[in-house]
Amino acid sequence: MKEITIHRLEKKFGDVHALKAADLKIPAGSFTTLLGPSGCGKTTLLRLIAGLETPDAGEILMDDEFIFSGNKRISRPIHSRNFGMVFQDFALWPHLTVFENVAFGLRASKQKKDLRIRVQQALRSVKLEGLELRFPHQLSGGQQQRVAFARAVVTRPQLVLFDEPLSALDAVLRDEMRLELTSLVRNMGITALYVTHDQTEAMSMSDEVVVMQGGTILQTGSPEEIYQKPNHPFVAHFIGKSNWIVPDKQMLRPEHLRWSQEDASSLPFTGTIRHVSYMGDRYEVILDMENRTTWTAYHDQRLPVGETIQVYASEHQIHHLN
Amino acid sequence: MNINSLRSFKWVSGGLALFILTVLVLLPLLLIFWTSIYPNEQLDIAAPLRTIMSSHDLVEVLLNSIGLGVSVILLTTLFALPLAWIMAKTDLGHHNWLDVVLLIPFMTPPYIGSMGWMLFMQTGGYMEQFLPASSVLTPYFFSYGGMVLIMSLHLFPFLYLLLRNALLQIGGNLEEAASVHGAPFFYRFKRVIIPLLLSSYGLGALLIFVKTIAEFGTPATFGRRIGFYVLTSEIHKYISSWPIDFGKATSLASLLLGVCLVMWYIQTLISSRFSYRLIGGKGTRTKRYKSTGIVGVLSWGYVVLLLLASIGIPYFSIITTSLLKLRGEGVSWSNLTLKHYAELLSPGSQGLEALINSFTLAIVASSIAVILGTWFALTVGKGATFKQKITDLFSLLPNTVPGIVIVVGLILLWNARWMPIPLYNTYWMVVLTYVVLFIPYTVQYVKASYGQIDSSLMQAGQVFGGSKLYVFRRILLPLILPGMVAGWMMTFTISNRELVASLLILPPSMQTSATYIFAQFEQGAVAMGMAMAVISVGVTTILLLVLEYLSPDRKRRQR
Repeated sequence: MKEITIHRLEKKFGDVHALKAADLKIPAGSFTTLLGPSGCGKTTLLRLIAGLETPDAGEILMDDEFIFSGNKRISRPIHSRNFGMVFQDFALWPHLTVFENVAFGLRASKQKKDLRIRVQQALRSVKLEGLELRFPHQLSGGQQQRVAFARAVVTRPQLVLFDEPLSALDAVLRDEMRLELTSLVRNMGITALYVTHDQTEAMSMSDEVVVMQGGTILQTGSPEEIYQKPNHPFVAHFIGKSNWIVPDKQMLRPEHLRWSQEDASSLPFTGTIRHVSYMGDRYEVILDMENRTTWTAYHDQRLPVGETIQVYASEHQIHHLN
Repeated sequence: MNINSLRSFKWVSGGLALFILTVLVLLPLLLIFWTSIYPNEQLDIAAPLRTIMSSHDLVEVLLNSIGLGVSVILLTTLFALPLAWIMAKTDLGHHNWLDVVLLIPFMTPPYIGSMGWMLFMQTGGYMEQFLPASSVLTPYFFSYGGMVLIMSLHLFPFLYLLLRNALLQIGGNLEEAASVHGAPFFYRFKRVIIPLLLSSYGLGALLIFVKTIAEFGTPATFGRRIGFYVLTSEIHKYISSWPIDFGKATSLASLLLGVCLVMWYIQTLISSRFSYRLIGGKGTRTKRYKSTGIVGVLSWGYVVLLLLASIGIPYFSIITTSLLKLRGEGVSWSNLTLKHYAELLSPGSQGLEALINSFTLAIVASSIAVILGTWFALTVGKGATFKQKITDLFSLLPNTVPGIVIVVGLILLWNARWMPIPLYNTYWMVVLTYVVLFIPYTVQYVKASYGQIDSSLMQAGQVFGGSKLYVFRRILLPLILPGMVAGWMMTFTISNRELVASLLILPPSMQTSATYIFAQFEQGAVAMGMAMAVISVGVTTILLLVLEYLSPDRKRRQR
């Protein structure tokens, strides 16, 4: 398994600067997620790495071997990069059986040895044994997803790319497949690059999250770092709920607010209760604060709307953005 | 209105629609079969086959038709496949106007296209005037090969559209998935593109075959000139010129009908079993080759050449002929004149009368067709019950069956000795024929509009207090109106150009623009005929192009 390094990679579509000089390291065996709203450049970056689009400038390295370099005029063709990919709409070939869909990559690269065994193995790992002779349209959405996964990993690729693979599934199935996909990737020890706009997916699945906006990588870090120490107001806004003490400079996460002063060093804040929503395990309280921002806090009882109230937080919970 | 009376209204309306369709469409077709197997007042199932097999000429005619169909499939493939690839895979595909222009050959009535080609290629024609040495080509052109060429140039846009759409859909993620998983170009082509394209191609090829053997215009003009006879031209001969032989005509018509129905059945089999739902996800972006360098030159060259052959040459010949003072003088500025148009359009002239006849017939026929077609389409609805499916099938039958076959059936029915309604040989018989021939267009367009309307829209109308009639008027009607307008325009256009029905059905001494063009071309006043062709085709082609440009389908494609 090899490490992927991206250096000053750039791409324009006409006048749109889809990706601006991006730097990124994908360590071997890690699960890295590109997270951001639509149009942030995450899919473009994925497609550039896959080879489905050609970068305008920059470099892509596998360990210290170039697979793309603008300066050196190297661009390894898509089909010889040895990657796997799970597409958003699965992109299973409708005229091939499940078996042939999975076997495609092996046949295309002439790895005929043990072909049957390897395909069976891949299908067993996604619990689809016995369905080899079905056609894609005879499978449920979740099963199609598994075939797409088996197809992407059967060739033991250097890197598996996931392009919002869960977005085509309904909510219940999505939660189920999220857990399953994570454990499959972990068990196989695959290097994975995953694209999503869903922060739950990003936070729960990844070793490393890369937050992107407007063609730029804003922050790279573990899910905990991204949540607790966002380095950019957009990251703080986009992931989780944020309460701003000084807009775009100092923030607090809702779970760190207290309803009483626990020690003398806690800071008090005053606000008016605008709305209370019952979430089952707690009440979510929306507060209009004196500094004209809106905060979120959690409580175990229903509070009366319209009441002015004090909330407290200790100094070290406040995150200062630089 | 209580529930029972509402239900019975629906039932009566549905029953009546089915009855009318049976009389208008099904009965004439059954009568063809009946006449062909009931010669000499006694039942003889094998009679049509025997009639054909016993005559050496008729067997040859049958083989001619089939051979022509196969040849045209081959040549249209040769034209359409590279074009589809160019428009799907290079950035020429961004030129949306090309798609509209590429429809012109298909929209040009085949008899007029053939006339254009004949004027260009014949001895003393325009090609010879520009390039005298090219006269050696003339005998090669006036041959079976020339006929295949003319028909292919007319039909290729149809196959092109099918192939291009299939390529566009495959070109998204399915092809990308193949390349990511290690397939080089030729492997991708062999294992993914070709198999997925094949079902679309199969469908297209079958339809090309049916359209070729059903076509009348080219065989009636070019085919007659070179002495190449096919089913349609022979049916026409046995019904319109002495000695009239209904036995032979109906035998050939039964055969043609049978072949077309079988083809149509195979086509539905293919589309239900072997075609795949190819729907790109929202992220589908087709990568296109830049049309610069050699790719650009080859692509543009191919497109321009094809447009030149399919539009340039026939239209140039027709327009030039309509403008020349003296044909013998050749093409020069001093030899140009508008006098043919003036003569054609002068009050009281034969030409103006024919033109007015065509327009009024088309207006009356398309208005009736829209009302009937909308009614049928709404009766069919989403085609849930057996009765609705049958209604659907009958109302689309005239599109499946060759026009000349329907016309023969209508003659048999309305000219029958026992027919109490004296419609035959009147103005209204022509209207009826046009309505029957072209009703499928309205039915299809309205059905498509109706299919997109969620029933909750109507339910919402009722919940908010609208009566049935009010909901129909304020909600349903506005939503299906685009379909109705499209149906009207389509019917108007093709009624205006219809040749075979007009030739066979028009009462004596009445002419339409199509029969006028045909007669003038045959009798030598070619310039007048071509002036008429320019006016008639010009008006209706512009109408069709506007329709194509406005159609919601197209806007969605552009997104």
